[in-house]
Amino acid sequence: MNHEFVALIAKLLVYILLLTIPILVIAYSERFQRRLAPGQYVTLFAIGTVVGVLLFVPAISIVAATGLLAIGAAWLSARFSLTGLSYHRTMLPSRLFPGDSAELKIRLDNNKFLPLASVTITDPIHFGLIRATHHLDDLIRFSGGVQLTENLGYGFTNRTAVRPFQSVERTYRLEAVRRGVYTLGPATVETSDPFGLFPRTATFGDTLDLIVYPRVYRPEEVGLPFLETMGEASSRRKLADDLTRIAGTREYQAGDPLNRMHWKATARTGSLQVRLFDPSTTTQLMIVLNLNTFQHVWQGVDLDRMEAAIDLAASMSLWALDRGFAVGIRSNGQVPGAELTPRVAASANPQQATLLLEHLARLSFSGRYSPEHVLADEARRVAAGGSIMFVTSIVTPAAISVLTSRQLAGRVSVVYCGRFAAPVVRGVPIYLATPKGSTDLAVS
Amino acid sequence: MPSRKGFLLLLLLAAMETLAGFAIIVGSSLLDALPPGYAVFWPLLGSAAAGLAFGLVVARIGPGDRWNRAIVAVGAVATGLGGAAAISHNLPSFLIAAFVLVLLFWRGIVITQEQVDHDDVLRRFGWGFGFLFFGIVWIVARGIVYQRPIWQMMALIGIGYTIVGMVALGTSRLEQEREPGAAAAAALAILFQLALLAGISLAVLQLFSLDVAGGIWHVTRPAFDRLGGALFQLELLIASPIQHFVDLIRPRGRRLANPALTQPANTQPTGKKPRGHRPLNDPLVVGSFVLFAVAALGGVLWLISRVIPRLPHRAPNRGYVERRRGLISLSALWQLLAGWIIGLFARSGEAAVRAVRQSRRRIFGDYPADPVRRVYAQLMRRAARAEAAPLTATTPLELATQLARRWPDHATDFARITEIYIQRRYAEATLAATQVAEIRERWHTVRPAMRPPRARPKGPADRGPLQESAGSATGASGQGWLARARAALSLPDPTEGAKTPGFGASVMLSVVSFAAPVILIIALLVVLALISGSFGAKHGLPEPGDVPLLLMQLQ
Repeated sequence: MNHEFVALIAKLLVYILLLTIPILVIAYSERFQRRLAPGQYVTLFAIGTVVGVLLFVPAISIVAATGLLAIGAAWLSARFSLTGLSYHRTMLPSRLFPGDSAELKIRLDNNKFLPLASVTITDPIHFGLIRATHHLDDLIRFSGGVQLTENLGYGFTNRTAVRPFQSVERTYRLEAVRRGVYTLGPATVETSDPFGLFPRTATFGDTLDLIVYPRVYRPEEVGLPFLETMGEASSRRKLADDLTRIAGTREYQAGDPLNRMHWKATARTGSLQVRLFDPSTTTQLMIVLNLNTFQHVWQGVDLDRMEAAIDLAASMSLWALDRGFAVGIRSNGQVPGAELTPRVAASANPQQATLLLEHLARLSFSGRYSPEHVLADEARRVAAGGSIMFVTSIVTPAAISVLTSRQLAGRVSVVYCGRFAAPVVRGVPIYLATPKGSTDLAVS
Repeated sequence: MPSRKGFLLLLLLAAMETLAGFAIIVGSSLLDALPPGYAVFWPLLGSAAAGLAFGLVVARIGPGDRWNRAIVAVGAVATGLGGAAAISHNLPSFLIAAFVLVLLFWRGIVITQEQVDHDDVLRRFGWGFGFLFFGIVWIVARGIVYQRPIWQMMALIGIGYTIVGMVALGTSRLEQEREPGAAAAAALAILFQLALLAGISLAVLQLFSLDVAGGIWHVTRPAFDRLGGALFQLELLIASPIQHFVDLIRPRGRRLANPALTQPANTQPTGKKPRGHRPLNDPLVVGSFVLFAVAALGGVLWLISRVIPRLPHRAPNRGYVERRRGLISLSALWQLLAGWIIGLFARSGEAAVRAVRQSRRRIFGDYPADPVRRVYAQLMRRAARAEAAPLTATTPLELATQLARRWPDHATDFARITEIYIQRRYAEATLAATQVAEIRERWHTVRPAMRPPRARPKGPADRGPLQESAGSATGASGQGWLARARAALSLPDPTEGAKTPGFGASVMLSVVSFAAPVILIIALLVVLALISGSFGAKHGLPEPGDVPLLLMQLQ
């Protein structure tokens, strides 16, 4: 081992100690584990390019310019990444009953030459109702694509890559589980350059509503004779016919008055025909729905009981509409966007069933309005011939005092779907309903 | 074990670390002590990859933490010492080589111990650039920055590092599982930019006197030679049976050797025609042969691809069905092209049709056979073109009055023509030949006078385009030369009731608008032919007739 070799080793060690080790320490210690922003890269590379030119050192200029070019190309591609991009979604059908399925199609079109290495489309899923669960699968089931978002909500997320002038279409299956209005969108589209240096975000499209109606029962499914719950309303339904509104004809039956004979129809058919007329008045049935499930609001809400009451109201309103009643609904809940307690006026219009179902689908617990107040208000508003059906899962002393008041005497019936035994109220018919699938049904 | 994407990302990170470390080695004087010189990069890369593989394997099947450390240490020592022994020739170079190899091995191990995501790659990207610039600064400090090999190598390292880093950044953003079309789209997006980046950077380097293209050609030439030779052998394999078959069915056209090689130097011409013929010297035959060979080769490859058994494609259940389709189909492109070509010739077609109609009417006419009524119809048509009188709801006498008011010099002629016409048309009188001759004579008299005025007005606005363009595009008449040129070239718009161009204008328009696209296409073909010809001459490509000659020589 000669002197030169020792000197070389010593020089090497000095190099290592003075330069390499401090650099490695700086590079790999936690304190300096911070990444630079693209703008800082641009600044550094620009300075490097200029310094290289000024010092006549091509290596610095070329390396810095290469980095600058890479970041510039990335910026350009990010700049035009959202150009020519369109997003559409369709749902068929968009109105479901619990248990039904729908098909959700999303389509992303990239109408430009620039391919997109990564596109993330997030449709936030809104459901403004108070729910017993935070799991979306208990409300509505997507076949895929649902993720938790940063704000702990749910988002319908799709990630993909798109080639130039390409359309990507995905088809999902949805299954409705619970009543409600589920809103998708507006979509947030996130993309960037292929290297992820310059993220770009835009909001695309409108909202898309999926309405899940309340469950509708047949009378035998809830053990409730709907006709009897109507009380005197069913007998008052047809007091007189309107002779100006011919509804149709039928075969003559013994006892039909001769002034109702339809002679032209008789001559055409060869058998005796009589005219049928629409009734001159339609009996009104106002369903008052109590969403409170406990006597005091501070006791909370039993969501199963509340849903059972809503399902019963939907079932009875559809049944009554099918039989020609003019049906309306008033509740002490709330509908998003409405100030006061929501009320749908009684009507026998063919569109009334859809209106009532959508209204009930949007209905949510409020706690601000007492059912007694709503009941008394309806007693004042409903016409003299109309009937009121009070659908509730709890009968409180305050409600009993309103039900037995003079204003409602003989006009109101109660459909009870609570957990506990219903009280017996003199002069007020109370009917027990036991919707299928409900647990801890009421006993009496 | 990491996924395919994760493994690719680790390899890219190892390459980034190696390039950054190599920049330090080049910048310092360590490279002078290493015998392979710049080629030491490859052992360094191998050492980093070995560390990577070691780290992955030990983490998966290692017996325990303490034993894992020992195994890794042994691996590092073995790699460092083994690699150093292979590339060094004396003790100092051995020690330095062992040091840098172990260092890269350690970096490979470190990479496997961290969860790599996009942020992490971005951070490493920045630090790598820091090392690169540090190496350059070191070179500057050593005063050797103006030595061309040094700065060229640093520039190459920088370009390579940028490209590898960008690939790593793009890869880190990819999903673990992608749909069939998504991977291609992502790869296309990344490669498109990287190709642009590499092309521009290497072009700049080429501009700065480093012969990158020549170097690449020099390096890759043996591979291309081998590839060409293999393809030629394959072509021979396909062509030989066909050649034998041709020989069988054409016994007189047996294979001929190259006359230049086989013909004796002292052979005297006999004056006889050579027996048989050489169809393979015909470019048409050769072209057909090449096409047939390509088609046969393609068919064989297609058959092979069809008969190879495939594993069933098991698509993971992602909860959706995806369908991808192009927004621009081949048929749409063809329609676009066809529409463009039709649009090119549409104007000329319409102008030609108009010219044919006008000439047909001029030569044959669609006038009544009766000579008197024929003359009167021509009079009415000429009056309409001159806008002399409204022809609808106008009696012959009223028309005669209006024409006389417009051309008072020929009032008598108009009156006489109208009189003869009324006799023939309404009295249905049989006219004498003298009357017919008279009406023809008067018509020939008035016809030049009724010629419609020229489209171009005389006066200052009639200056040439160059004269007027010196001022403004708007002439004295309020219509600039540009607008007039447009009006002269564009077809009449029926909604605006514009005048139809005359016969001469229509012919000129049709000729010009037919000729322009044709000239354009011919020019394009000529340019392509020139380019291909010069390219072939420059690169010594064989002429079509040479191919069978080469085949014969090889056989």
